[in-house]
Amino acid sequence: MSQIKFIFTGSPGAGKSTAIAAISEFPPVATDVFATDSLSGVKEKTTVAMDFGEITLENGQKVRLYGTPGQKRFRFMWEILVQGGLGLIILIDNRRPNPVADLELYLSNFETFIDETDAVIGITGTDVKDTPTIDDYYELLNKRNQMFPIFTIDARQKDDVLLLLNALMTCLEIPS
Amino acid sequence: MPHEFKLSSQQVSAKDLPVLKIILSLTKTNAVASWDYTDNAQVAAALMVDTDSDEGRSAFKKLINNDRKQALIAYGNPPEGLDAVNDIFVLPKPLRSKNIIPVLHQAAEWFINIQQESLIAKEPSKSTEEKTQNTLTKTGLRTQTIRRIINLLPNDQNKALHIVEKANNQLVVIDRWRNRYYVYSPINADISKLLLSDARNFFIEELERKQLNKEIEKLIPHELDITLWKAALSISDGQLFDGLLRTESFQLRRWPDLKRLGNDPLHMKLTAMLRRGGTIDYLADFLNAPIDEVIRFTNACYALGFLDHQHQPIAQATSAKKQLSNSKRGLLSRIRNRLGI
Amino acid sequence: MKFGKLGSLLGRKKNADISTASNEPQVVAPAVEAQKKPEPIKQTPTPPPIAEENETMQLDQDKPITDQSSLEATEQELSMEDDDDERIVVADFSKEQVALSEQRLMEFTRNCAGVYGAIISTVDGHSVAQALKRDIPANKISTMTSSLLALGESIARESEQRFCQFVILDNSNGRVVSLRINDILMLTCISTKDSNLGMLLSSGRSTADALSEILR
Repeated sequence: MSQIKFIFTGSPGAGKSTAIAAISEFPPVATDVFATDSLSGVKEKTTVAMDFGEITLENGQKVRLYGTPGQKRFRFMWEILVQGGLGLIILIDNRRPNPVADLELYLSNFETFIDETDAVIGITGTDVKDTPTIDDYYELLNKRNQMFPIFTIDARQKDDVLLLLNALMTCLEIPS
Repeated sequence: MPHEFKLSSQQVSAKDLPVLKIILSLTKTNAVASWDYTDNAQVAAALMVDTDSDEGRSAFKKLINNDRKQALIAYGNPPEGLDAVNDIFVLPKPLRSKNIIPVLHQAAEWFINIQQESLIAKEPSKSTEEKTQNTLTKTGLRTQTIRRIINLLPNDQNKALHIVEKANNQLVVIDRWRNRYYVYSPINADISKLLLSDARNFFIEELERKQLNKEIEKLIPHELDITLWKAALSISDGQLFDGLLRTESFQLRRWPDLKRLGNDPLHMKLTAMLRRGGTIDYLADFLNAPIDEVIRFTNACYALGFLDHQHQPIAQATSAKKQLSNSKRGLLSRIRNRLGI
Repeated sequence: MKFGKLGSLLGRKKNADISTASNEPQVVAPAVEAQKKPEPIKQTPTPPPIAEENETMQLDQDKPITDQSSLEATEQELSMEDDDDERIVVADFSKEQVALSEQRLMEFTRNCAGVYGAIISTVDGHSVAQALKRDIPANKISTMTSSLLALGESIARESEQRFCQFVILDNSNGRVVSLRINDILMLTCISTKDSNLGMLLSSGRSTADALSEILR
């Protein structure tokens, strides 16, 4: 039987590892190393292969939570990790220079996977930088003729991560 | 059979007129009300005047009188001192179907109400309520006994409004663009009741940006969307807001921020449904939800400016692209149970 | 000169200014790979921060670029290829250090039988310097091996083992071995089956140790 998994992707430093840690049953397996590029100004370490967390259902089934590396040079990992995924959680760091373009990058790169499943978008860092606004992100979605839930979240808060999963699962349950 | 209405215009430019006619032709498929263009203003149910020129403004002012039988639509900026409470409708430029369709619905309702009043005057023996019901049943349109302030706001998504009691008490400034409202007295900080009040008891005027900035200088801002959302949800009369029809198909242009507005499971499902669109009855039927709840949610989305009229409803239920298998549905349900969501 | 920009250039542009004898392994940068790289979004390239611009200027003065238009084209090409995230900013090595490192890589490929590629990269996947006898995509391999090494180290941790020494891919017609140089750098050795695995590991280890001294 194939794995049951949700995929967390999004811009470097947006909180993918943190979001997985917020709901995983064990401290996520991390593959983080020292960041040597401009990301090092934001955080010391970055994920280069995957984050991996897990939730066990009542019947013993495991739901895997995979986090992808954020940087686009790791596209090959994105392609490996999404295989068989239930849906995509995209986290975007609002503090970066062009977060709307970041979102567009992930929507484009995961297009096939999103078409087959669904996606939800969490915007982080809005407490530090409040632009672009949610309206700006929706403008991008409208241009792309797409409609996904977008929430501003704090990836450290379990409730916020659960809200994303709830919205994603609702989208999966409702015919589109 | 849809009810047929005619629209005439004055001062509308040669560039806009063909666009207007095309948009009107889109209403042909509407199950409730369809619109045609006419050059004969006398037979029109609504008259649209371009009010951005001196000639247009002056013509518009002349048309406003109590005996008129046509709904008046100000295309562009309405003449100073006139707004929705003067029983006129405002259509912002440029001409877009998403703007004009709700205005046409309102104009149709206004026109029917006027006809109804004239009918009542001619047949004093029947009760008003009975006649209203007859007309509404016949046309498929419905009316509201109270025109609430909150009903008037969706037409002004990016505008700032100043609401003053007729007794001349300044009450609130609403800045939709910034999602803020400002009250003059802290006692009135909760404007929920005000939003639900009959608009006829208030002056509602539009504020220019400069005026707005001056007006709010010393006032404390409050978040508008949560108040609007809650106020809209609190109306339990089972009536859709002005501009919305029960038989019409709607679509959401964005998700309400359910984290801030309250994480109601039904709202989450309705939101997901409205990504694709549907009529009130279809939504209620699909989710097995009380129709009043669906109406309240629809009103709330409309009040926040998130709702679009769906001009070409997609075939519902049959063309669903992603129908979930039962096993996957069961799996999601188990995940929900495990996560407590 | 800053190592960051040099690293970017070495990794992404042909090192035409580095002369090599005909029997020496060619130092080849994966320009082809960079050109092929799909750009899913079209956006106006944002100018790099001022500090980085200065670095570029210094770098370009060192390179034998003859006219201003070439210089501008180089800068533009760089910013088109990758966004600012992709520029190495942490390490700060001199040109001499990098040249010595490349020399060491070439010695390694010459002295260890079957080896046809050696790449120094950062542990987060940026190519820094390489000596390649075949036209292989050093950028891509740098990124992928950084994932692999990190996974290897994670697996070791989860298995209650410590200090992952090597990650070895043993394939039908060759081997790929990755190992750490230090906290931020790693070495990847690529060989045919002509190599002896023990020799490859031992020689790779000593090269990494030497590089660790050079790139202090």
